[in-house]
Amino acid sequence: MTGPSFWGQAREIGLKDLRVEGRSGEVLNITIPFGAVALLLIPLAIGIDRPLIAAVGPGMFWVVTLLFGMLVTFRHSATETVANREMMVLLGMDPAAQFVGRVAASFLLLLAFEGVLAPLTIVLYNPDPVSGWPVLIVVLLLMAIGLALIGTLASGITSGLRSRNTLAPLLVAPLSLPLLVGASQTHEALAQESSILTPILLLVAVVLGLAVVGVLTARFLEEASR
Amino acid sequence: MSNGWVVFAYVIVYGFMIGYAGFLTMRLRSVRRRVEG
Amino acid sequence: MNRHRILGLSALVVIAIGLYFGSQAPLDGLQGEYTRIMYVHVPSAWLAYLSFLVTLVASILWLTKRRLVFDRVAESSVSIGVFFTALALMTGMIWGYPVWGTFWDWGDARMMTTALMFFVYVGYLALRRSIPDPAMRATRSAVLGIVAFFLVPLSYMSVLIVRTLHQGITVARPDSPIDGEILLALLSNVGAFTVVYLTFMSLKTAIARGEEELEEQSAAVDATPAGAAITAPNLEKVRDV
Repeated sequence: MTGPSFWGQAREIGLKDLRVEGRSGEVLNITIPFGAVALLLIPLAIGIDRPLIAAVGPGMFWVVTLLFGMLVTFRHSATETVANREMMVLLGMDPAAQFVGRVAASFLLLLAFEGVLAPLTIVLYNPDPVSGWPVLIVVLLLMAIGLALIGTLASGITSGLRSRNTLAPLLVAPLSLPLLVGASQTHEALAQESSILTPILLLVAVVLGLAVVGVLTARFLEEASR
Repeated sequence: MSNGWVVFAYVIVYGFMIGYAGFLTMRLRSVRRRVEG
Repeated sequence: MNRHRILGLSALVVIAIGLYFGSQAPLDGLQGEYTRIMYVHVPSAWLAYLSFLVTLVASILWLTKRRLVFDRVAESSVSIGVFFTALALMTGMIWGYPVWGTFWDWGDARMMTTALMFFVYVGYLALRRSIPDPAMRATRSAVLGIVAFFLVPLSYMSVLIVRTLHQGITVARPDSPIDGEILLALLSNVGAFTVVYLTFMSLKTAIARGEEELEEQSAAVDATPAGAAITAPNLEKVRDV
C-alpha cells in the first residue's frame, strides 16, 4: 500500500499547520506585535542618543527576531494534543516528514515576522545603509530556517511537559548563538566592506547540521512523546 | 605563591571538589540506606 | 564503597603531584604569578568538554542500544560537566581581572562557549527533572545531549569571527614553543582532574543505580496486595511533581 511520499507528507503537515495558524492568528496578531513592542522599548532604555540607536539597530533586530521569534515556533498550533499525535502514528506518518513539515510552516511564519519587523527597525532606528544589502535577504532566510529548526527541535524535546513554556526558550536561547553571531557579523562585514564568506558559511553549517540532526532524531522524539 | 588571587582560585577549585565529593558520598549513603531499609 | 575509596585516594595523590609540578614550573614573563591559575583553569575547561563528549556518546548509545546504563552515564556526566564548567568560568574570571583588568572578555571565544555550555546543560538537567517516566526522560535527554554538543564547536567558531579585543593572548605563546615544565604541569593537572572526574562518575552512577532500585522496590510493593487480580494505585507516579 503506497501512501503519500515523504515530501507529500511534509507538505500536508506544513499546510495543515499554516491553516491552523490562519484560523487562530496567534503569530500575526500576537507574536509580531509583541516583537514590535520590544523594538519600541529598546531605544527608550538606551536613551535618546541617535547615533547610538542607529548603530545598535541591526543588532537589536537580530536579537529581537531570535528571542521573540522563537515564540513563533512554540505556537499553540505547533504543539499538538496527545490524540493528534497518536492519530499521526496510526496513519503511518513518517515522523521525519512531520518534522520537515513543521519546520517549513515555522519558517514561513518567521519570514512574515521578519518581514514586518525589518522595515520597522529601519524606520525606528535609522541605521546607516550598507552596500551589498541584498545579501541581508539571504541572511534573513537562513536565520528563519535556523530558528525554525532549533525551535521545532526544542518543541519536540519539551512537548507535553508542564514546564514547556519556560524550558523551551531556555534551551533555544543559548543554542541559537551561532545564528545570532552569523547574522550580525554578516552585517558588520558588509559595513566594513570585508569578506562575508565566513559568517555566511557559519550560518549554512548550522542550518545543514540542525536539519540532519532533526531528521535523524525525529523518530526518537515521536516515540518519546506518547 | 604570595599572590592573593592565585590562592583564591586554588581554594575555590579544590574546595568545591572536596565539597562535591562529600555531597555525593552522603547522597550515596542515604540512597543505599533507603534501598536496604 | 571500595571502588569509590580507591578512586578518591588516587585522585588525592594525583592532585598532589599536579600541585607539585605546578609549583615548579617557570612563570610567564607577562603575567607572573597569575600564570599558575592556568593549572586549574585549563584542566577544568578540558574536563567540562570531556564530560559533555561522554554525554554525547552515551546519548547515542542509549538511542541505539536502549540499555539504562547509558542513560545513567549520560546524566551523571552532565552534572559533573556543569560542575567543571562552573569552575572553569570562575577561575577564568579570577584570572581575567588582575591580568586584563576585566572579569569578562567579550572577544574570548573559549570563555563565551563555556558560558553557553553552562546554560545549555543546566537546561538539560531541568529537562530531566520535568519528566517522571524513565524511558521518555532518557530518550528526550539523549536528543538534547546530541543537539547541544553539535552546537558547541559552532558557537566557538562564531565567537572567533567576532572581532576580538585581545589578539594572541593564548596559553601557548606563539613565539616560542611551550616550555617542557609548563607542559608537564599542565598535563599532570589535566590527569589529576580526570581522576577526579572518574571518582565523581563512579559515585554518581552508583547513586543513579540506587535510585532506580528504589523505584523498582516501591513499584513491587504496590503490586502485592490482593495478588495479581488487583494492583494498588501507584501514588508515587501520580503525585504532583
